[in-house]
Amino acid sequence: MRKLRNGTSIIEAAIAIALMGIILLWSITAYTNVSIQSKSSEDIEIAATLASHQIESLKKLDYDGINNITDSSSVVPFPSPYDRYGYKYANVSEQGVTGSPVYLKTITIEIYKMTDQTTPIIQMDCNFLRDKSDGTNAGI
Amino acid sequence: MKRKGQALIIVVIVFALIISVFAISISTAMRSQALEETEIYQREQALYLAQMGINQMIYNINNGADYTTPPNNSITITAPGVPDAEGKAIYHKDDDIETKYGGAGYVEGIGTVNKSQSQPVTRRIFVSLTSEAFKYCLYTSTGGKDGIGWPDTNYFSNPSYGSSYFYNPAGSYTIPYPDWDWYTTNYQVYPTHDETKDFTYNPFTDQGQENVVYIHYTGNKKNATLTVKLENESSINLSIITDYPIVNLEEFGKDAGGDFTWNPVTYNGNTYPILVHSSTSESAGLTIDYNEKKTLTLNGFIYTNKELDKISSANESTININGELMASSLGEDFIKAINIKREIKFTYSNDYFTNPPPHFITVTGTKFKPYSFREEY
Repeated sequence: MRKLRNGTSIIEAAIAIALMGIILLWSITAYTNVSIQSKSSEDIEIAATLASHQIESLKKLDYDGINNITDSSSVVPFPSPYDRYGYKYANVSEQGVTGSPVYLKTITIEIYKMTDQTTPIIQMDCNFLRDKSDGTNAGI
Repeated sequence: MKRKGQALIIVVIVFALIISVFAISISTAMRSQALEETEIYQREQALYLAQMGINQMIYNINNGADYTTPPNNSITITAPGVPDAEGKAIYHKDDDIETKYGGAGYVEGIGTVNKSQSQPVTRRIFVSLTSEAFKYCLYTSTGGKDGIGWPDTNYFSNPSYGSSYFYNPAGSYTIPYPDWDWYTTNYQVYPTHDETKDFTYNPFTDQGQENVVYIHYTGNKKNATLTVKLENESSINLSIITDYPIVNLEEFGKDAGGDFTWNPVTYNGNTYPILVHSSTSESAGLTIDYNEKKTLTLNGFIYTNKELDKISSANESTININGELMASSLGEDFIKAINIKREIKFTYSNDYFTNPPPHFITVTGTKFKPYSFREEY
């Protein structure tokens, strides 16, 4: 009995353990949430870089190359080491097919995680202007 | 003894506070990094939306749209995939800004993401725009020359853009037009004359040599004539801006042997054309009367919005145009001088496309492209 009186009461120990538990639980939850957000923002950053890279690649295409682009039926994976991600062309539309000296194609580049090909991580809109007489870039 | 238990609780609470502060710090840091990464993405989106606006405006211009008159000088396009975003383009004449832009005008592209939010993300791009007409040795609204004559390479040289740009094909576009408001407020000399009558002007004896000269006509005579006599010396530095209906260039270096060299004037950082002739008269035109068996060298850009012809019957002469000639059309004698008599040789020695003569404006139907200069903010 004397030893018990000299130590911590069961109630006090329980309160301390409960407090520790609450703190740990809160910390773990908060960390998990932030980690998820961080992971998500990392995905967004990588996806934005990949989308920009894809747009810059398309800029190098001449009239024929741009003209051939249509809405994608499936997600196309990027080369390694970014093969966890893929892209699709959507909302493809064109102006100046006939009767215009220049041709304008508008595209939405959608970037996906290959593990979830239904919801894009990001979408990036762009368009491409080509001189129909020589196929060169007539815009920026 | 109870105090030991209380002390434990206090230690735990202090520990909890430390953990909390630490966790909040990490959370804040990671959130701010996440926000930064999201903003990078939004700024990329805004950049491409700005480009979209510019490309759409260039497309429209090349299909006949005219954005030179505010407030009808802008377009806005809705982003097809990115929600709450838009691309906008505004056309500016080149005199709206510093001369560093040059060109026939420039387009300002503005991309905006989160446009309905309190802090939208915006990017701007400025692109100089110029007409392909400035790539050619010879550019007319009726086609550069007719189909007969000697091989083009005999009298056209265009190292900057090659044989594709010796002259524009027949049945092409209308020619760019000068920004008259700018030209008629940025000159050096205004020769004294009766603005309602014919005028004979000699820059050697009258005021004007080494200067940008504006010679204005206010009368109603459809064939009022400005005669420019250049007989006194064998060369001159002179740029002429005029709206006289008819302009005759005569007697080049006649009293100094007959050969003549005409250089343009650089004023306030702009190298002007040798001649800017713009008239609304239906009888208007420009003629060049050069000397027989002599050489006339024109080192610059010559512009008329009317027909260019020659009025002499001089033979075995040579005209070297080390620059560009732009005219609404060419007269029969001038075409013969190019095609049959081979008197006129063009050397595109200055790249007028990337460094075009200042202050020429978009015109409906002319093919316009951006050139290399580009700035982003």
